[in-house]
Amino acid sequence: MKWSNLEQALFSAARRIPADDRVPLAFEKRIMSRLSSGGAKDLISMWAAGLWRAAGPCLGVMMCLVVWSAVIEPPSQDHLALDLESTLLAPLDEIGEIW
Amino acid sequence: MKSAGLEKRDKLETPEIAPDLPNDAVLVKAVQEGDVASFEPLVQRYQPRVFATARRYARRVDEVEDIVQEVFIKAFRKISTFRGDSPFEHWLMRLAVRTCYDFLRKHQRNKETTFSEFTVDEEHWLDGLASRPAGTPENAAAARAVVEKLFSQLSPSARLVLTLFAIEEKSIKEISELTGWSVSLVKVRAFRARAEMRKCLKRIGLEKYL
Repeated sequence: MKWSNLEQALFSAARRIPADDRVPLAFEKRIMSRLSSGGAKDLISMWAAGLWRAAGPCLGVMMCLVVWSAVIEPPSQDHLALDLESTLLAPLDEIGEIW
Repeated sequence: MKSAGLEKRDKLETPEIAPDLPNDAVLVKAVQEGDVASFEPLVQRYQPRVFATARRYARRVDEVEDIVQEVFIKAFRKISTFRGDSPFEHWLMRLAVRTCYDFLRKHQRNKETTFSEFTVDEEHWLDGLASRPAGTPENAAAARAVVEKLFSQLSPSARLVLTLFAIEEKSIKEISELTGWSVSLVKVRAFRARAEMRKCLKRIGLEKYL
């Protein structure tokens, strides 16, 4: 007997074994109870669904901010520069007061 | 995932399917619209096929039940993606085969690395095989045990492809559809599986039956 014959003999023996399609009693009830208890929902899909739900409100807030920033008068560049300078130098001023 | 109702494991049955149940398309549409109860007839209808598939890859009762449970829960979760281009049964069997493959890969590290010796019955069966090469000897239990021992030594992809190709006699195209692998990948894996099986036959000492 050759290798291929041995293989074929094993495969044909395996093919002759009937597929065991028996089912445990009321197995479908077990599946349905798992599904109805909510165990079917996994964390990833719940997280994804939450993100999708949050996308709408986030978009709305973003649009409001865009409109608001376009409507209000933009601050002058001089004020911005002064504000930045005073913020940066604030710690130094505090040190001066201590000494 | 551990199955509940372990005490009922020995009570196996081949369920009768009521002929007056609505067809798959109606049931699937109802489930897609949120009617969870319509999923039960689908489980009832296809669980024998899914059990038969799972038993080709797992031996222990709890493992088989876990695989089947996972298949149906995945099917329920993903049913919104089923568009009805092919029969529901094909879609479900693809899911079943992929779940079985995932199971094999997950349990690859846990599988027995040492080969357990053949029993007297199995030795007799192999002797009969060697003396009657034209026809395989009787004793289905011994044949099943020998084939299972042999297959348990193979890699997940080799086991899957050999089961589908050599035992279930699926074509390369069908295997490609079931597994999601390309046709050329299936061919390559089938070729490697043959080589792996030959090595395995040598390793477990079946060459003496040549």
